[in-house]
Amino acid sequence: MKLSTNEIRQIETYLDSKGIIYVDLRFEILDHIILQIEEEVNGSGIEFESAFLHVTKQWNAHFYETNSLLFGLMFTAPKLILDKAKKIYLKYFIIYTLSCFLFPFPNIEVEISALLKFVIIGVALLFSIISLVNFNKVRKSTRKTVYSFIARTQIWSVLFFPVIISVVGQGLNTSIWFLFNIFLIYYSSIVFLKKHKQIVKQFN
Amino acid sequence: MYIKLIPIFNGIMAKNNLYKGSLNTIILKLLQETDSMYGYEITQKVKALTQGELSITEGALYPALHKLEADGFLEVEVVKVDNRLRKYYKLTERGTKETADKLSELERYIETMKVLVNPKFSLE
Repeated sequence: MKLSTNEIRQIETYLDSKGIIYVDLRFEILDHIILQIEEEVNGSGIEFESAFLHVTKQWNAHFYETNSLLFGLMFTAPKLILDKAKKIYLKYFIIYTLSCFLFPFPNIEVEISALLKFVIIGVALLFSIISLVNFNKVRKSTRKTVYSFIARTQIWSVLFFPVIISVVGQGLNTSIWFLFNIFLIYYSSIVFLKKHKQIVKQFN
Repeated sequence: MYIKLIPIFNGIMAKNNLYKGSLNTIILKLLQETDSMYGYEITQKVKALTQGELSITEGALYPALHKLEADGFLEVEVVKVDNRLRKYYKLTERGTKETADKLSELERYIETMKVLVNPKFSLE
């Protein structure tokens, strides 16, 4: 026996209540739960409600809200979502962290003119704004993917970079280092937007 | 391969969660034999092959699938079934190569375990 539309709606409401709104996970979890419940109803002959309670009890263990140092402790998501986001984001985190070690030593700094500094800040601002727009598109999209969660966590870093570069970027080496980091963020914003669009298209 | 895996799962692996380290290999192997599979199907297939001794929980299955997908070993295909969307996983080219590597790695591990668990003594 297949589940009725109302019974499936009840499962969807349960997923909404647990924050499973990201399409790349929501549809496969919904499908899995439906099949589990159908198996219990057909195999053991129990009522839908009992099977629903039994199956959702198992899933609750993977839906509790949690956070990770990778994104910052203020960003929480259901565990299964966060685990997937961590797997995607880890390589970017490693690259960002490694790039920090390239920070130039102040004693080998090369002085730059006011005009060049102005150009560098302008370029930094331009790429920061494009990155911000990309991240915001992913974050605000009506159909959410795990990339929407990741994009939400990246916006602060983009906002801070132009401010930091205008204050700290006094020499050529430091400025190049900051620009390199902004390009990394810009690159990741393009990748996230592309992947997000691919997933949304798949689930349309 | 299944014939080799089943007695091990029936023995110590299932009960002590030792299979966890081999979960990726199990998924890759299943996908190598069946062109594409969805999450629930994988759990049922493993349960059937091991006669219920080993059951992969959703909490272990999906993180493993997502890791393999993020690493580029699996690709996703979405198909409409029973008026809802179903996510099928299939091996990529890299995934096929990884499966061969993982299987030979697992076979070597099983051979080593056999030697350790059941050493053959000889009188010389």
